[in-house]
Amino acid sequence: MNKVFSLAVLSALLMSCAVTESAGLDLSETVKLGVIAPMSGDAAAFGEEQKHVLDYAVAQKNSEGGVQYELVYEDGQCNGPEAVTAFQKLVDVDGVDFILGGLCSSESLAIAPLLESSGVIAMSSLSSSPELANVSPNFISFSYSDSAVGIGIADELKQFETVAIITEQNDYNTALTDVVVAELEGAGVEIVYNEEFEKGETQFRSMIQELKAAGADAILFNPNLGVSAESLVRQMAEVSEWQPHLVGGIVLKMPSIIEIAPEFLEGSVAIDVDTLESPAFMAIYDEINADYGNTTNIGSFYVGATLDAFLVMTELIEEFEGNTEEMKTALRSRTFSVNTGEIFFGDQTFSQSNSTSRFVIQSGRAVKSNQ
Amino acid sequence: MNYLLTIASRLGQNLSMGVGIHTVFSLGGLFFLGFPGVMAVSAYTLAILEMAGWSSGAAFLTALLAAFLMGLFFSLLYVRISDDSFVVLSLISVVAVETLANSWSSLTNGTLGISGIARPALFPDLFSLTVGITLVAILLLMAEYVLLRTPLGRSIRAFKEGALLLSSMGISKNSIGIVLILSSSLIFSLAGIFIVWRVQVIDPSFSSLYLLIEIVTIGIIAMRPQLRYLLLATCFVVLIPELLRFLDLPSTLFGHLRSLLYSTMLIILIHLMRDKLYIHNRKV
Amino acid sequence: MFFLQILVNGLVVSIQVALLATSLHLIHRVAKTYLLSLSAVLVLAAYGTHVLLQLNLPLLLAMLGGIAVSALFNWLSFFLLKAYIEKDQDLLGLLVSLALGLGMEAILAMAFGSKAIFLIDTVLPTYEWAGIIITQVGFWTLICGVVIGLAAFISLHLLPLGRAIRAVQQHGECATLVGIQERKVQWMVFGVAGAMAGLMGILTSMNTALTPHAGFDFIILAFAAVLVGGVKDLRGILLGSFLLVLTPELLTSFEVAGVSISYSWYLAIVFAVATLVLLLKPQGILSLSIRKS
Repeated sequence: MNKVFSLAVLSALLMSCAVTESAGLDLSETVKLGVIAPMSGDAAAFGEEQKHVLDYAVAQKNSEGGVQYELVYEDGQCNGPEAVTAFQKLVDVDGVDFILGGLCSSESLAIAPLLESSGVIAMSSLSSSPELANVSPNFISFSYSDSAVGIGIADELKQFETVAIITEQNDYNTALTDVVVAELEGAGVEIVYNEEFEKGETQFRSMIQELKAAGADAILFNPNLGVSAESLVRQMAEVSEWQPHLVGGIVLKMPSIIEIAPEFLEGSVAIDVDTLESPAFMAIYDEINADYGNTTNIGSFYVGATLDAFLVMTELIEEFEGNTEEMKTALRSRTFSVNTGEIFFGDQTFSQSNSTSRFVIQSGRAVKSNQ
Repeated sequence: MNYLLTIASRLGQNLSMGVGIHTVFSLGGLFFLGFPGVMAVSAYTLAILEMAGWSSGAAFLTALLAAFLMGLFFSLLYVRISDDSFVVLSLISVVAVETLANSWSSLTNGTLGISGIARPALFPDLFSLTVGITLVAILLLMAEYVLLRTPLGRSIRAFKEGALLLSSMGISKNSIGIVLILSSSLIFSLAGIFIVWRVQVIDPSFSSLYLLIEIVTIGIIAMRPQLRYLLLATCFVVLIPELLRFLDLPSTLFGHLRSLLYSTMLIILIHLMRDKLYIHNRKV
Repeated sequence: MFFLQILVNGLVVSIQVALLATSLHLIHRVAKTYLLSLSAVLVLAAYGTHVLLQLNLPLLLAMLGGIAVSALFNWLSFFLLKAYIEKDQDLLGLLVSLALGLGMEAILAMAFGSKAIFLIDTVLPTYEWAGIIITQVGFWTLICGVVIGLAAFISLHLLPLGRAIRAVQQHGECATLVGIQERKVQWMVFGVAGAMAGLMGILTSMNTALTPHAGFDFIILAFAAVLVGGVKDLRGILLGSFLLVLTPELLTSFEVAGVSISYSWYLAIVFAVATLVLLLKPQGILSLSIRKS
């Protein structure tokens, strides 16, 4: 037993010593891009779908010839401590200077303080917490800030006298609710019910009865995409003779949610950035879904944002031969013409170009409507 | 370099936790499973106080105090309820602490957790922190080595072999149990504090069942009182799953495979070591 | 009416927990160990049902298939735990069963992914009476719970099978001396308990959603219910199940002294209630006080 243990320890130590020293970027060699995203746990579905998009992107890029890229995935598990370990492995062992991630805001928040001292640039495509605003000069996000969507939702809810709120305990949803609550309290709207539930919860029937009993004029529907949103819609639709006015973010736009109970959701309002619908983009979107895997959870905007992060990262790597300081300067000063539009960051974390739109559920579809 | 330091740091922290589990579980035979919750409470106390402007030293001491108080709570449970109930409640406490951390968002910042936690002046960088946790682990190992040779250490081993016999010698079974729970709570608290200083972030996932499985695995492998088994067990448990990162596995499977690996390791190890785990089953 | 609705919702969940707690109790009776891997058993049955439904089998047949899978897995668990049972190493058995459960959940996650599965694809049909709504699945859960509960009680107290189980519980060797085959009783109980847990898993998954880790919260509740109710008494376990489910349901649904408790505190409340009951009655609600000698 002693010998077995000693051998195991020795081999593990030797493998751990296989550190790739980063000795400057040679574009004739394959350039590694690190990816930090949840590959296990509750948010794994999002990580898996982002991987589908990035695998497509790198295959397309490499097929063009020129600089070749390789993606190195690490599981951030949508939590800070794991994201830090993933970051350190990518930087120290794999020798990456460029990271696409974190996916979750908690991952991005954890790695942001480490970027500048490590000389690493990170670009996220889904992190959206307002706490990420100006968190690091080496970090940007191609997502829109929850502040933008939260203010849009609050503007929609301000027309009502009483509002109920139901939120999943998740970095994205709680941040959104915080923004909405602050706006509504400032506008004098009464919040008659404000409930949070655990991530991944599936039993809502008692909560729904409370929600109904609260008798609010409108409900902020704020679960995350996935099992909780689907369960909540199903169980709300079970209640007869009750059709509350729901207002929410991206979750209410998703076909996978609407198709569960289209009559129940008729008239509900979703506030989100515009869906990307250009024929060129839709061709790419369809190809990804057909050849690489489903992306319905992250949706077309985030597919676009993920592609944008990859395109901008690789563009800057090639232009500045991997010089992160020059890349940073360009990132802050340029306007990029990408799938999600004309993107300009300036000294902000989030693009200053994104604005939200209003969508109404009509006949089983989310239709853009300004009224 | 940072990755190597991280591995070394994790070895140090797991070794510290290993001393805790070795004392309470391997030597004392007490199935106290609430240590992830104790670690989380202590770590959150440190994080909250440091972010509130307290000095690292004051926050550190208060965090230890919080762990001590939790240990007192578990000691009360231990004295009052049956062994089975104690095991179950200590297990449920892990989930309860995670729920608390998620829900008490005004204190803990909810699911986003608390990031940007400053390291103390004594350990300003990862290298000094790694040296620090290694020294702590060595001190704890030395303390356990000395303890085993004292009357208290002999009482702890007697506690596992025959609690009734211990009582008949005039040594209170409950007292030994309380000592085990309190000392292991403080040790785990120390490890938790060093984890927070290393990663500089804490969120509700800090208290998790997978940490429990990992540490119990160390306790099972190191069931014998000799400390070399503890050292080897810690290295084995920390380094072997890290090897998975270097294999060309689909990233979507990595997290699940790690869970499966730990679970399988625990089942196999308990099966191999079961006769050594219960002293009264030892062949004479 | 609101109170009655909350009560009905709570009763459905209580029955689910009670079924699982009964399985734990039966296994503890014959094996003196707590089978935490039942958390994997109940999701395994649901995934088995899902696979069979995908093969276009009728619902009842698919459910039977799922239940069979769960019974088989539980027999496998018994095979693994036999050695610990024989040597009264019940706490080691608990650890092994915890690891087994977590390992099986990891396997299911790798096989089926983390995305939720809904066994019934549509909004669930409901029954409504005097303003109280219950899903049809919830209604059948209540019926199954009552029937199985009665069957368990009658079997354990009135039938020879129950005497055999109680004999094995009290002293396996003596039971063998009077012709009761201890091993056979254990195999049978593990199979029945696995089937019950599987049925509970299928009904719960139909009523809500199915994910690889869906069983863990239930096993925690069931385990606590067994201890709170009193390990040796089935009535206590049923009472414990209702107490541990209805207390947080009511506390989170109603204001108490002007204070409203969030639903997210559910498990913390369960822990608090279980701790309080066990501090006051260490052997459980319906157990007799045992004098310490």
